[in-house]
Amino acid sequence: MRYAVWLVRLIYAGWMIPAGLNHFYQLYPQPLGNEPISIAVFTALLDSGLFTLVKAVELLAGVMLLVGWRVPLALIMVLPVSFTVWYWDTELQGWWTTSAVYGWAVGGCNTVLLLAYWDCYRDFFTRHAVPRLPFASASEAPAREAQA
Amino acid sequence: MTRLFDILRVVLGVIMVVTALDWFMPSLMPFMRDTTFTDPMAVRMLDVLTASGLLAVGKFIQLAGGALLVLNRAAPFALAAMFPANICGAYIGVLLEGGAVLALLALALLALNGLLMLAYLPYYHGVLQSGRTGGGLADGESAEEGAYYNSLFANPFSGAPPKAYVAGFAVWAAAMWFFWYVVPFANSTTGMVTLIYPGVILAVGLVNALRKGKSA
Repeated sequence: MRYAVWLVRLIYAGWMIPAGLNHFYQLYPQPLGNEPISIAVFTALLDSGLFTLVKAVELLAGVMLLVGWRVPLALIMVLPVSFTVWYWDTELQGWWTTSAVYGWAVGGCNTVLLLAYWDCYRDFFTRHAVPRLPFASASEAPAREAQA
Repeated sequence: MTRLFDILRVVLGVIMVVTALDWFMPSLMPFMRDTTFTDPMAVRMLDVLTASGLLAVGKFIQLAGGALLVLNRAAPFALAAMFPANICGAYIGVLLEGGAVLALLALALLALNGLLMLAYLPYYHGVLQSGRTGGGLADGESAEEGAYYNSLFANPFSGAPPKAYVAGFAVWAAAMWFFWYVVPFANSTTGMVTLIYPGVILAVGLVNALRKGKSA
C-alpha cells in the first residue's frame, strides 16, 4: 500500500510544482481553455489576481509534498485548488475531452492522498467539539466528546 | 469562555445559512438587502463565477458549513471547509470592490472564521503536526526507517537499510516512467525534472546506507 501512496505522491508533486511555478516563471504556455465559459473563468481569475493566489498555493503545497513537510496540511490546503481544477477541466471544458483526463488525475491524486492520511483528519469530524481560548494552556483544554 | 465561542459559532453559522439561502432562494428572504457591486472587475468576477456554477458550489459549502455550525456537528470540519470560500469572498470584497462597508463585513467574517478555528485548534492537531515523518504516516507506512516517505525521499541520513532503497528506487522509476510515457507535452519534461530532487536524495541515502553497512 505504501508504495502506491509514494507513487501517487511523487506524481502529484511532479505535476503541481511545475504547474504552480509556470505562473511565476513561464515553463510552457498556460492552457487558456477551449470553451467560452472556461476561457471567461480563467481570464477573470487571471485579471483579478486571484490566479496568483491559486498558483502560489499549488506551488507551496507541491513543495511541501515533495520535501515531506506538513503533508496533511498541504493536502487540505490544496484541496480547493484541485477541486477547482477538476471542475474547470470537466464541467467547464467538457466531460469527454482531454482536459477532463487532467482534471480527474489532479482531483484523483488529491483524494487518494487525503484518504491515505485519513487518520490525521479524524478529529475534524468530532461530533460535539468543545472550543477553548486560543493558545490556552493544556490544562484548560476540554475533553473531546464522542467521535463521529 | 466556551459559552462566548459557542455564541460566536452560532452567529457565524446563522450568517452563512441565511446569506446562502438568500442566494439560492431570494424569495425566502425578502428582508435581505441585495449587495450591489460597482467595480467592473468585481462585477465580471461574480458574473463568471455565477455562470460557471462555481459560486453555487461556494454558496453550498457556506450553507452546509453554516448548518453544521448551528447544529454543533463536526464544527472543526465546517470551519475548515468554509475558510477558502470566505477568503475568496474577502478577496473580492476588499481587493476588487473595495467599498468600506462590504470590505469590513468580509474581513469581519473571515476574522470570525479564523478566530473560531483557533478556538478549535486542538482538533487540527493531526493536520498541523510536523516532525521526522513529515506530519503523519500514510496508510501502509510505519515509523521504522525505510518504511515511510521522508526516510527515503526527503532525508538522506535517515539510516534506512539498503533494501528499502531498492523499493524506493522502483517507486521513483515508476513515477519517472509515468511522466516519460504517459504524460504528454511539456508537462512530461517538467515533471521528470522535478523528480530529480527525490532521485538525488535517494542516491545519497543509498550511498550512506551502503557505507554504513560496510563499516559495520
